[in-house]
Amino acid sequence: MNEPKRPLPRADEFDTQAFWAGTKEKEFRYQQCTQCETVVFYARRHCTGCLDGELEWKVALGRATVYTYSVVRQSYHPFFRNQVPYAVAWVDLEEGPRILSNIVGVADPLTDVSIGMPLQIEWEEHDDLCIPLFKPA
Amino acid sequence: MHPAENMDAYAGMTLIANYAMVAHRHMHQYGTTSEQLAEISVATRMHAMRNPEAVRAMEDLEFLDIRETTISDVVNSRMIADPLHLLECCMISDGGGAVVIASPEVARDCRKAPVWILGSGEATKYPMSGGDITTSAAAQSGPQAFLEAGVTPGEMDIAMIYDSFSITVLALLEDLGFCPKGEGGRWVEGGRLRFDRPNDGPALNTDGGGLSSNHPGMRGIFLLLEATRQLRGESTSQVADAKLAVAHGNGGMLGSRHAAGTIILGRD
Repeated sequence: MNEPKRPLPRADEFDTQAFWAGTKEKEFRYQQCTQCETVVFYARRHCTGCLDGELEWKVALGRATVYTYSVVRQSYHPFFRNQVPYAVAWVDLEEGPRILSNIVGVADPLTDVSIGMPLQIEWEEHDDLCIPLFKPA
Repeated sequence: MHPAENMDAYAGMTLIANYAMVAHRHMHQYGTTSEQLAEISVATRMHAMRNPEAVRAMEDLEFLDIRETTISDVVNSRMIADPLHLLECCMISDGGGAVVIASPEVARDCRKAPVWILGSGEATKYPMSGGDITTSAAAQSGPQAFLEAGVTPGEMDIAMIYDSFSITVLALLEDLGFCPKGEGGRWVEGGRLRFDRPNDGPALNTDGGGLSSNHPGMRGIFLLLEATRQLRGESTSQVADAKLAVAHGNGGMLGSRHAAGTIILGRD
């Protein structure tokens, strides 16, 4: 039997396909409103701040901090149940986008993750895209 | 697939972790403690033990050691998703209910005394870059409902607040205006939410709540049912002369996309 794998996004999902296309090049793309400067993430057709401004694509460099996190001790998912305990976090990139991800590269997620901790993006490679994970900077 | 789901399914955030993220940030931002969050579990379990239907539900679900709990019991129960412990998580049960809404002319002529819908509000929220995860859509729906009803949170005898997890109640109490944002931890201390402390503010979830009576996934209907029982003097943890109640439901997930509904109820 095959090992259960991380559930992957659909690279062709309409709103988010430009983001996922960027991950193939290990490029973190986000949008910003040219009118009100609101950072928009995940990708949308409209500005979530002023609703009618034009959105411009930008690239974040991958420096980030932990906004908040939890260490999952119990999961019923076929892949994640074998990963416990693992850290999920809302991560703030320096340029503004906030993304849900995992904190990797720590010896013990129970003690080695904290809010405000500096992070660096680490891309996990897959066939059609890369998954943005984060490790301590 | 929903675009937001396409952006988060790979991270393995469980439902409980979603709420735990709010709790962690609340602790970081305001100094809230697990002991303060545990007050919510302790008060609702106390109410549940007085409600035979809640006790029966816990028995049917094969809860271990069914009794009133202490703060120490809660914070020493198993961690499910840091910082939320087992006894801060709702039960998973069946359940269902219904309410009959009628015109004043019809309601005045029924077997049971009418309970009036005095105000209502609704709102939605999603996780914005740079946003505050500790504030929910209740910060919008609550004021709408209180304004329409012409009453204040301080006048509430009963607070039926969606208790999927301890942090849900803490955040919602703040957002509804029972205390300023961030002060919920200190506000709930010392058993303030118990039904037998009417001078300290509203009694919380007097049926035992989702934490200890039932939680079929969407338990908003039970908030309305128990609020109605209180206003008719029929609760198993009756607040003497209860006149005003707020029922607030949170749908979706507190730490990401969710919707909120607030209803203020009163009696003649």
